[in-house]
Amino acid sequence: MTKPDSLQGSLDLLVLKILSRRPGLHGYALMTAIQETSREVLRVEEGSLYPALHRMEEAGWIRAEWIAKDSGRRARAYELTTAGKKQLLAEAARWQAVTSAVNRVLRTV
Amino acid sequence: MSLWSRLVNVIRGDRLIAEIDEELESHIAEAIAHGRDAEEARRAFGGSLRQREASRDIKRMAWLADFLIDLRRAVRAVWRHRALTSAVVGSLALGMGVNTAIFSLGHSLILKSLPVAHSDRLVRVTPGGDFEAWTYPLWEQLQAHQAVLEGVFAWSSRNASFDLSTGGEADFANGLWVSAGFFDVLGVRPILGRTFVAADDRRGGGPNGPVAVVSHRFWQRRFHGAVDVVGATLLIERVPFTVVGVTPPEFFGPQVGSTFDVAIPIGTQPLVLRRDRLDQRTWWWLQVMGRLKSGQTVESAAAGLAPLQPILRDLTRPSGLSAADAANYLESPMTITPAPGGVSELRSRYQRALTVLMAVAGLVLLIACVNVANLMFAHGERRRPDVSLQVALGASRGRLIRQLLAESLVLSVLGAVAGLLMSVWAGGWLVAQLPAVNGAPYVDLSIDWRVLGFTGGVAIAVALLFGTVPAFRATRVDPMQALKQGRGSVGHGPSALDNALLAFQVSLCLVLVVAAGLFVRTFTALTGQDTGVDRERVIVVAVDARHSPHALANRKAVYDRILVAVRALPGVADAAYSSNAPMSNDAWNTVFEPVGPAASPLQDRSVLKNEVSPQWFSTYGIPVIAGRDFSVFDQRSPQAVVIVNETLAKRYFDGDPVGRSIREVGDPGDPQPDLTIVGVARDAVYTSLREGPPATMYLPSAHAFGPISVRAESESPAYLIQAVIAAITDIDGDLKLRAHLLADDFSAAVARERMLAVLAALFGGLALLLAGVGLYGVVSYSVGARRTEIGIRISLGASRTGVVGLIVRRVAALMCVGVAVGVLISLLGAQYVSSLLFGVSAHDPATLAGAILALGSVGLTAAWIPAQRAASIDPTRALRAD
Repeated sequence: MTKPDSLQGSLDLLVLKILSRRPGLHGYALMTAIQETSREVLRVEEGSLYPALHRMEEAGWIRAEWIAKDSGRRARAYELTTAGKKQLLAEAARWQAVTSAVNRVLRTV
Repeated sequence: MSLWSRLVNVIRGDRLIAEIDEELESHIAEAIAHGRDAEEARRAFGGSLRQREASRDIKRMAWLADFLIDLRRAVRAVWRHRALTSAVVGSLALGMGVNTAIFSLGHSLILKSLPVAHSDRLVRVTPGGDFEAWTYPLWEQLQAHQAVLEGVFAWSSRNASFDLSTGGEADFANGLWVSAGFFDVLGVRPILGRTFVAADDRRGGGPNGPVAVVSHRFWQRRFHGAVDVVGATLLIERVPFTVVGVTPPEFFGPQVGSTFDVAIPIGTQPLVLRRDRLDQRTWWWLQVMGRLKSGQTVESAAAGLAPLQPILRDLTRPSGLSAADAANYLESPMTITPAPGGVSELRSRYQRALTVLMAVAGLVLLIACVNVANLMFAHGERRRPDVSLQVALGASRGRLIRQLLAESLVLSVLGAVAGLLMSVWAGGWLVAQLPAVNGAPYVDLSIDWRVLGFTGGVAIAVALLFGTVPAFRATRVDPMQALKQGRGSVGHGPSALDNALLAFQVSLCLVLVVAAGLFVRTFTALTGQDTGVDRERVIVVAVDARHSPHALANRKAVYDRILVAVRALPGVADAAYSSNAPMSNDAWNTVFEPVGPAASPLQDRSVLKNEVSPQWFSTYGIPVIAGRDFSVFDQRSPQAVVIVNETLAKRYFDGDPVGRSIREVGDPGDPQPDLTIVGVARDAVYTSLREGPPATMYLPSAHAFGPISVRAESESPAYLIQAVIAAITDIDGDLKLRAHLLADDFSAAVARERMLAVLAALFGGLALLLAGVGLYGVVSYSVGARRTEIGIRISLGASRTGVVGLIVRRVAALMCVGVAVGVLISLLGAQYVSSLLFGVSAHDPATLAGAILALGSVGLTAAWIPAQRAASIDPTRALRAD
């Protein structure tokens, strides 16, 4: 079993957020999207991304279907489910709460 | 993803892996296309194997997949160690088979509901007071007036062994008298034709003449399942009945333990019995049950019936009751009890016996479990190197334990399957041991989900019981140590746990041996007691004279001619008749009073009575110890005489009653004649083997009816039956006869005790064997493990006897602990079995001592043999081996 790494909470949030804007991305596109929108600050390891995707699929937040790519290979394209949309709101709220709390600590100490 | 798809993914693991691989490969290809270095892109995934594993574990139920792998491996391991497997499966099959058989009998007899719709709403209604059964008038009133229950029905199997023949040799079927609502209220729908309607139950038969409903079994047996059975004519006691319906196969009747062939309306009784007894207010013969309305409780139904009680009683009050009896009759309230399982005589008689047997069989299974655990310990020791290797390669201990438990489960399930097969056979044997209640005993032992659930539950419990501790111990290894030492490793000596298990086994075994002792002694006490009658030489011929053209008053001449003819047969020593035969479940009672000054202040003068012909006492081998036997003149002369038994003589006349007079207490205004006591007969059994001989008075039989008893010149008189029947038939061909050996009645009377004794002895012996083998195995193993130590002791000058003593002493100490615990358990459990015992106390010290002795000698022998072997160890060889 993989140990939950420190980024995991935010990785879910990032993936859900991006998929909510741009449904139908496959794994590689998701990875580059995270990289680009964060202006190269955030990089997701493949070793974390795919287990996370499969886990969220398992949890019913996202669903996947096989699509044909130009290269002739197949890829799995992901999109949000209704449960995923709710999860996104919850994760975002949690993130806001945590970051503002951390910011408060940084300001006061 | 749904639970289903995860389950599916467990099965199609390869396909899943391919899909995960494809997704990852697609990712890598795209990365390369975007200019990443191929090597680096691949490496970014880390170990591809691990990546795949991580994803795969998410996508399916990992534990289930692991479990399936464990099972597959376990099956392979179990197959590889076939010798161990057969030993384990054999002992478990024995234990579980016995448990399943006893459970399924208990389940069918005690727990199972009748196979009808909403059986939970069935209730039994008893008239209250001392009465279990109803008279027909009382039932008629209840049926007419009650509106509390959804419906009520009555039935009886008394006098319901119907002769279906057209004449000549009788052809008996199990009959049932039923009220019109019997099938409807019970909820039995016919599979063919119809059941009864109210008009069928009219006295003397309904508008369609007398009608009958037959059971599925009878339909198959007699009509070979023909569809035109409806409308067919069935001759019941020479009366033509029209068959109107067939009941479904699962319905065996309202009495668990017996089955019925033909059901006919109660109202047809005057036709069948040739006389109308329906209006008799003192003939208690009907069982009554009812169905609660939906949502109605037993309490509210009872409350609803209560106001009806006085009306019913008053309308059906028997005449001639004494004041006390009349008060009892008028006041005792009807009772309603839940009866989803119908009514069963067998149930009340066998409930406790079966519970005891279940406990005993459970103990045997426990002992077998301990033995199997010991086998698994030894097996674990041998497999230590394999396990060490697996640990060294990184297998987690939890996973190894699961693996070993899976093996135990496979063994246990194999044992359960074999046990289930065995239980089918054993269950049949158990049912055959039950006494006949109404025809041959019948119990539906089909394996249903509850029996399967029981066996499955037992299998899992057993696997955990014998598998857990060995699995934990076998996986407690230090890989370095174990690998270094390899196969020749020195095992540990017995641990505290081993000792505790051994002591536990000894204590369980003692309980079983004590139980065996108690039940065997009960059986021998019951069968070996002096019953006062010569049971081995007597044939009893039950006579049914309904079709005889001779009226009761003229029948005595016929009977007397029969006696002359039978006595003339070669091999016959004597013959007589009586109103009741001993041990036939028929007995009369009466109350007498002395004529003249009261000889005894005792108030209770309720005694049993029998009416017997001359030579009845000699036929049964009962000596007349004072005075004289009846003569043919006593039957004719107006001067009434009576013979009493010893108990009556002692209790009321200080042992010297001859010449005194007594009379029976009759109804007021119906004086009974004075009877002169002319003889005293030795005490003899009448109805029950458990209660000593009751005070009994014998009157000369004024009329001839009841069974004819024949005494043979030698024992085992079965060969005479044919000749006796032929001789009787020669005299009167219209008598319907059924002959059996008196010994069979005695044997049927102790059926329960025999079953308990045989099974308890079997289980006790099995337990002794298992405990002996277990002890032997453990001691042998520990001797093997201590070879070096013993070698050193011997080389340092320890004597051989000293070595034997060393080993045997330790076992003896363990056994003492076990025996102490066992004695404690036996004494605690004794309370429960005491009502099943006879002639022996539940705390009987001799039985306890005998059990301890038996167990001690088995245990010490089992320890002595390996100890002897240890003493003959050659010290030089033992020391060189390491």
